[in-house]
Amino acid sequence: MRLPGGVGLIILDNLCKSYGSGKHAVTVIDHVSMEVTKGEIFGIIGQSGAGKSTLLRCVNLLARPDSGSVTVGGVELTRLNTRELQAQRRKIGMIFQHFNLLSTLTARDNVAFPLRLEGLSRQEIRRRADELLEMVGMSAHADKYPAQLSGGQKQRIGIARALAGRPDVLLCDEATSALDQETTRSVLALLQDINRKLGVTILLVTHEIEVVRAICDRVAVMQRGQIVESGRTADLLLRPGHPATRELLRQTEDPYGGDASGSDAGGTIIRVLYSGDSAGKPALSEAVRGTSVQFVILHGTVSRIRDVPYGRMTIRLTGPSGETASVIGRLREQGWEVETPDVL
Amino acid sequence: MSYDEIPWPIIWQAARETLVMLGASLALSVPIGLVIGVLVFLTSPGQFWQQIWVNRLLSLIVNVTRSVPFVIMMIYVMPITRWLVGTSIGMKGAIPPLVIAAAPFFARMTEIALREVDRGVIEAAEAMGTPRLLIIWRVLLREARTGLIAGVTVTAVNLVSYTAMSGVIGGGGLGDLAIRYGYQRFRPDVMLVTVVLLVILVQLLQSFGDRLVQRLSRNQID
Repeated sequence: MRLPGGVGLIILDNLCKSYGSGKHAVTVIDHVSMEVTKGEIFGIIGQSGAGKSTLLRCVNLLARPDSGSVTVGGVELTRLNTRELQAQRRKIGMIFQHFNLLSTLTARDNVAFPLRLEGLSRQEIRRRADELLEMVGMSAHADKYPAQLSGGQKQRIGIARALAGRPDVLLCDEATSALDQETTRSVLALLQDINRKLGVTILLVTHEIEVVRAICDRVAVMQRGQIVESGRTADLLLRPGHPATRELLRQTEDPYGGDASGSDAGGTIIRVLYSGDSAGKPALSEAVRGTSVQFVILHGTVSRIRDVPYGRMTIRLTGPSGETASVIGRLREQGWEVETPDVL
Repeated sequence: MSYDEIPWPIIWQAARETLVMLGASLALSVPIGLVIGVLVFLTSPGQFWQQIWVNRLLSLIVNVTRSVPFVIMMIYVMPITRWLVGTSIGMKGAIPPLVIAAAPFFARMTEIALREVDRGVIEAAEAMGTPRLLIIWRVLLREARTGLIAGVTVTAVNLVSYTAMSGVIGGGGLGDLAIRYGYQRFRPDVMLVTVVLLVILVQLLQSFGDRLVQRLSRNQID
């Protein structure tokens, strides 16, 4: 997972963790090694019970791995004593699915909680807290208690609180899973903003592929305590290699090809996938130029994952079979991936 | 039975004694019970001072103390009482057994209140690098405060009945008065007055506690 020339801000090395002992021991994390580069948004995705939340908790040692090492910002956390660990944790922000705000404190006082640990003056704390509330767009709600706020508002307070210690890293544990779609979008936009403007590296855990698609630069797929696949988001989402990844993708994508294929209409049905540079080219019209082959797009998506444009389509080609084969050949030359029926 | 037969000065004196015994024993039981309750909670499985044996021992002490009826407890701890305050009778002699009975009770109430605190909030405080003593003070006790106040109220009400019982061993106060006048001298009027005063006292304590809880939980309930 080490990117060439990357700076590993978070390095997890050969982590193992199990709960219980003897016959009843359950392995939650099974020899996981990974690295998160400074400045990126890294997603860990998996079904519930895959061990992803535990893995995230290992980064700030809320969960202690049985073996292996955790290094954040060059400091090996697994070697520190309690006091040193507490000091390091102040540089690692964390937000939670259920927000975990103190119900007896106002929004402002919740944000001020970590600031009070730093021994700042009363005025300084108040000034910083108001600044943070402003940044997450919650200034108007500073004096409200969590019970008076909506889920999205609570998460914004959670984010402000997590950023109070000016952390290098923000850990997000299913941060949008308790929110509706629209609120999820706005919270994700806020996280992306924080990543870009403050340069905070984000490591997030989710079971929603949409979250990964929206903001993650890289992603790792977890299943039964192991990372089964990882890579750049576009690569992984467009060309999933592992069954677990495909299973996750199935949650949201239209059935590949749909039932619009109209197989009784004759011709050859092909499925294509293109991404990156080849997305800008008039590949399809060039491929059929000079032939008698005609094409009909039966089904498709043209979109963008992060900065990578892509298209995925089901196309019916009609024409002499020799010419059809050469059209497919030309598409492949253009960098398109083409799936053809077995008969060809 | 006429009005001037009721020995009001003696009754007021007894009421004052009850209030002093209640105040003193509550002031001692609450901090002692709070510390024990926090320790029982934090040494229980899954908490950050997890110590199964310490937890079991503390729990056992709390349970044993709570199972002994107060009348028997008073007599049983007399040597300790004498050692602590020099006497086992009167107001002074009543306070040690009151504390020994009420502190474990409040410890249990504390533990129950702390269990109600959202585990996630404690986790969030840990993630922020909060030292443990501050987690106890600023998170646990703060978030559990309405439960704790309700616990103090119940403990205080229990203590009222305990102070009355301490009259049996000459503990002073309204209970003592009820036994000496109402029972031994067949004075139902005095008995009635003490009972009414005790009921009023309990009502005041309960409504004060309830109101405080209400005030603190305003705006904070989902």
